[in-house]
Amino acid sequence: MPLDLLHAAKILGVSSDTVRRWARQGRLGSRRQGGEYRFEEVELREWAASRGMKTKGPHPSAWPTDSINQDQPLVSAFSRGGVVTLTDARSQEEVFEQWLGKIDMEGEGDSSLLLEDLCAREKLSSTGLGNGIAIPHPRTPNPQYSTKPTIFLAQVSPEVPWNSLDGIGVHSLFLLLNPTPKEHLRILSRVAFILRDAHFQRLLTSKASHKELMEALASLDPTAT
Amino acid sequence: MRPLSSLRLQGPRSEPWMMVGLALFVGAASAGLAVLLRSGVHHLALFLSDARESPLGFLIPAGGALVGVLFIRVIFREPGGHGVPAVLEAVSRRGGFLRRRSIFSRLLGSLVNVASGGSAGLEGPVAYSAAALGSSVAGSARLAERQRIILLACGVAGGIGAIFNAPLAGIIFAAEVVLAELTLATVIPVSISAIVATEIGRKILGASGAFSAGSLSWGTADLGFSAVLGLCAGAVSVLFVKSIFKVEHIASKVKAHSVWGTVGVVAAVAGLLVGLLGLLHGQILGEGYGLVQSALSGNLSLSLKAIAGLWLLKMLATSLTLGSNAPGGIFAPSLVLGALLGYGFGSFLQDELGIVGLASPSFFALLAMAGLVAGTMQAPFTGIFLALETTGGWGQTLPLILVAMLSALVSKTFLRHSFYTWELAESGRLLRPGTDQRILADLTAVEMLDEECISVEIGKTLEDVSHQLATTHRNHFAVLDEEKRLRGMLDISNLRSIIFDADLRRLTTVETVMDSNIPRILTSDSLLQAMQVFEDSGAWVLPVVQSDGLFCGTVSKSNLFDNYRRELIVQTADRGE
Repeated sequence: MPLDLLHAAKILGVSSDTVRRWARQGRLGSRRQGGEYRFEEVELREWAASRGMKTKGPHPSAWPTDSINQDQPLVSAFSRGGVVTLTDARSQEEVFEQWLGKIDMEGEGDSSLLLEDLCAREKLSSTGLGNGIAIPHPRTPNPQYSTKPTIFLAQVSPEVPWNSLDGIGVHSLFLLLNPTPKEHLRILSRVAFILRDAHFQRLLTSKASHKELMEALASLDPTAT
Repeated sequence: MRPLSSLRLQGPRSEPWMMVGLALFVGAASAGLAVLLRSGVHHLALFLSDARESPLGFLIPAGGALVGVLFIRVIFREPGGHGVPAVLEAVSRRGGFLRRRSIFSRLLGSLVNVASGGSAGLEGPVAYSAAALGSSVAGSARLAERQRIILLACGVAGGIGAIFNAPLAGIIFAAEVVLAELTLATVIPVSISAIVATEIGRKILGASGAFSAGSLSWGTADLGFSAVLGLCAGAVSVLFVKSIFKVEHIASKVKAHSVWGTVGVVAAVAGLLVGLLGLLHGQILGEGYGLVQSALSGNLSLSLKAIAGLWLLKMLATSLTLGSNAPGGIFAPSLVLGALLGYGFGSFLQDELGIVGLASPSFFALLAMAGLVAGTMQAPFTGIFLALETTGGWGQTLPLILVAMLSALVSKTFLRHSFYTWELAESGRLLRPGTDQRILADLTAVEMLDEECISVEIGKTLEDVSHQLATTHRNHFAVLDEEKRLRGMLDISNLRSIIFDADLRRLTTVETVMDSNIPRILTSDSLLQAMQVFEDSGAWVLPVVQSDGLFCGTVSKSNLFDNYRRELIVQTADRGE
């Protein structure tokens, strides 16, 4: 989907007047649509990266943005994270390593610390819920990993053994990063609630599109009160 | 392995191909303009040749200058002159934009002026016309400014290439003088245009070079004398440019008076003087390429004094024509003056000093042609390639480079800018790509507004605004009236003595403690202007207002720095591509 001037400016972290001038001068590739400039997100990020400029906003693994309502705590936690597909992982460690390599952490903590933390948590007891689903998380909620509740989703294929109670390997992992125990409990209860939903479970096992998943989430997650 | 989709033919990768396609078209059309001008001048001059023989023939240059100026000023409503500075200004300040009617304005003006005897060339005007053509093509294709500038340069290279049968000179002129940039993204389309234009020009105007030098041989001693010639050529270039500016200066003073200020009068009077000079020697009129050919083929059977006289006449006539803003270019007169200088120099060495075993005067004539172009335009490579391609003197590259470089060196020593760039550079309007000035002029204040900006309404007390203070780490607040007009700035760091005292807070209105004389920055101000305001005021944060006085936000020094650095990265990356 092409971006307009405002979105492009947001991603590049500059004012929209600057983006307009760059487009007019031909420094930044653009298209015209009814007299308005339009930009391709991938091109924009490539352009910035080749100039050593940092880009802001959602990572390429981001959820489709049209159905995100920031009033829904779970939906906004998901939108702060992202979704990735892992196809080469054979063990728990490999899953974590590949996964953390693909995600952007917003907090100050580094990913090797998080990796250790997650593995240590799995050693205490498995986070596998059964039905191919697991919800890995650090031993203690830590604002270093994220200052706001954040959920990352990884879809794993083929399934990876996770010591779940029902002995089935996992295909869907929900990584919960919460700053405080209170937030953790709130998010955990909501995640557990939607994971019990049969329709959502079907979507997960059938590898439904990210858009469908997000829509299902949005319909299940009650707005904040 | 990279996915196959990375070979896509969209976006950045297809752009150079599109530019090449458009360059083909611009090149062909530029050749058309060059042919039109060259053969138009030829036929008009033939038509006027009988009249020139009559007793009143000396009036023809005056008539030509008048008609030429009227064409440009009245019919096309453009400023006079040869147009290359206008091309440079378009590149510098207007994203390569030239009006469509400019395609014909100076073309027709210089056609009449030069054909009737004005001492000037056709190359500047054809470069201008073809540049306007390239710009219009880019406009029709809705291209961005960078691409429009490239197509404009394509026109310049095509026009010069076709009219001189000199593609390399066209390419180098476009890169050295017009773009001041030599990157693959620019040079490929420009070259394609020059190739197409030159070939069309060769088919219609003839495949020979403008001149032929015959076979010239030279030795090491000649190289030594070439160095001396190079210095002389530089000095002559300085003299030549200053003499044109002198006439220009006088003309502008004269124009300040009522009658003389009428369009075309000054040019006509200058044309009259040129016509009278032409009575002394007819060959100084028009382009004067006959003189160049005579010098190159060694049959300029004139005494040294006569050559010097002729040289002086040509310089005067050209200064009058160009200085009075009659349409025409400086290429041709430079070549003529160079040929005369070089020929005279060679003759002087041989006949007066009696040095034997030197190269012929024609050899020095060829070198000085490059020297004069290099000196007047401060563009040595344009001079070198123009001399090489128009004369076929490829055996003379070594002394040519020497003469052109030394001439440019002398010229740069005594003239801050070239004939073309003088006016723009003196008024700070010459912005070359990737330079500091370019960046400082491109960034405007509205692009650099601080993300967070706190404003308070006039009439409030410090107590009223204290809750706003608590939620921000900013120290500077804009004070606005009900219509969002800026009334002053509040600097919290100056208010520590009262801000912590609840009674004083309630007593003090923002009006009494704000700085209402704070300098403002306009949204349209460039970074250069904004920096000047910061420097003059010593402030760290300044308010930005629209031209109607409405408040837009604040800019801080640190934000200026961030923006400058980012712009520097972006603009220098463009040059690397």
